[in-house]
Amino acid sequence: MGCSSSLPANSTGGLGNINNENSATDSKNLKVKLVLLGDSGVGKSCIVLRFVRGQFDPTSKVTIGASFLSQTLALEDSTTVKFEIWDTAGQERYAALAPLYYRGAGAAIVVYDITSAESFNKAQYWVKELQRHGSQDMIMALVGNKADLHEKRTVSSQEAQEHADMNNMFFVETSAKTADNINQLFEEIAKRLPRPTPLS
Amino acid sequence: KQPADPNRRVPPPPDPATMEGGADAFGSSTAPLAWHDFLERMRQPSAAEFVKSIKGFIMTFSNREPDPERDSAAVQEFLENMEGAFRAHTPWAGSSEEELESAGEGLEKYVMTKLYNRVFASVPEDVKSDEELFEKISLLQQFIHPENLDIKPEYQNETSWLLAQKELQKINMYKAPRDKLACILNCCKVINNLLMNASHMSHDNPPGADEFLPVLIYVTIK
Repeated sequence: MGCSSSLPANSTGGLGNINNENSATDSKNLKVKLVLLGDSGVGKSCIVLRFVRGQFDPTSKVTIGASFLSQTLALEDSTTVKFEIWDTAGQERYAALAPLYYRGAGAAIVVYDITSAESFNKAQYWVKELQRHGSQDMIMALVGNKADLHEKRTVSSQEAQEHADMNNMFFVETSAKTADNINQLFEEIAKRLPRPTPLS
Repeated sequence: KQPADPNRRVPPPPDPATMEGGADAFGSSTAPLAWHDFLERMRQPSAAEFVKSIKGFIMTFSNREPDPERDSAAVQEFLENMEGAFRAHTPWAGSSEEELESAGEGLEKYVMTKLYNRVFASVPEDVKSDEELFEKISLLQQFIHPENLDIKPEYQNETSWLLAQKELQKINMYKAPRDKLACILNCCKVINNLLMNASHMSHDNPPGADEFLPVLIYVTIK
């Protein structure tokens, strides 16, 4: 199941990159804290690893496996966005820790598994929680993962799309296994990030 | 910067027995070269003013009544001012950002090591809450099992977790914040490596926070 087990080729250890400011450095180089929420087993870490692996870029830094890493994404308009990606534990008993993670986050990805209605319920719970307690201008994405398993689908795209629209999120179905829509997901988040207004 | 192995552990710690007094009081788990460079430059005559300010700060600080909130702000402000001054004056003027950063690290380490006894456990409330936490964790230790934390059986490996526990225990041997942080990071790396191996063995997905966080909590409690 899921994604393959190889690791990103380029990674740098060390302490220098632990930093969770939500602020951009300048108008061309943005920096954002991104948090992943969702039931355990929906493929949160696979999505991140797939994204990082797809970048072929020496700036990706794995600090603690897939639990915390950073990756810079270059956009077509020559802006760069440095994502600091925090994975969370999806088990019920760790739900109380989530606020520690999404505090100060500029973007959140709420993940469910398209073959699991249960995980979609859980995703709705996270969306509600973020609406209530997350920062107002947080960019939120609803992501149905494991799209390659469409013959086992139990959550329709239409239902998810409606839920996303209702909550002012964007919606995409991905497959960390085949890499479908993974880059698009992060690019879309990057494009939607608020640009700092120049001082003039 | 050189790309380094993410699983590399930061250099070995010195013997804690030698850490009192003399230069060894600054036993380091991170970048010993940068630390020596910092001391070297501080010995230069052009750094005399810096040395004076640092000693002055430590003196004033030590003579004040402890107040955690204000103390923390005072240290941060001092570090910030000094880092600004480093940038503008010899022996650091014209240094690269990286060199300035390591000078800042050196300064923090020097100041915090000197102030260690004054800033850690310096007010009764802190000591009390430390004791209470210690007591609670000791109670938890007696009955907690990996399954209580939703650690999947294929990832359970108490013997190997001892390695991670050892890394974390080193935290008490260091005084500088960055060195303490390095102990936590090393502990996390050990855990992540173990999880990575286990996921290879069981052909599972690479481990993420679902697997990592429960083990970190378990190791911390133990």
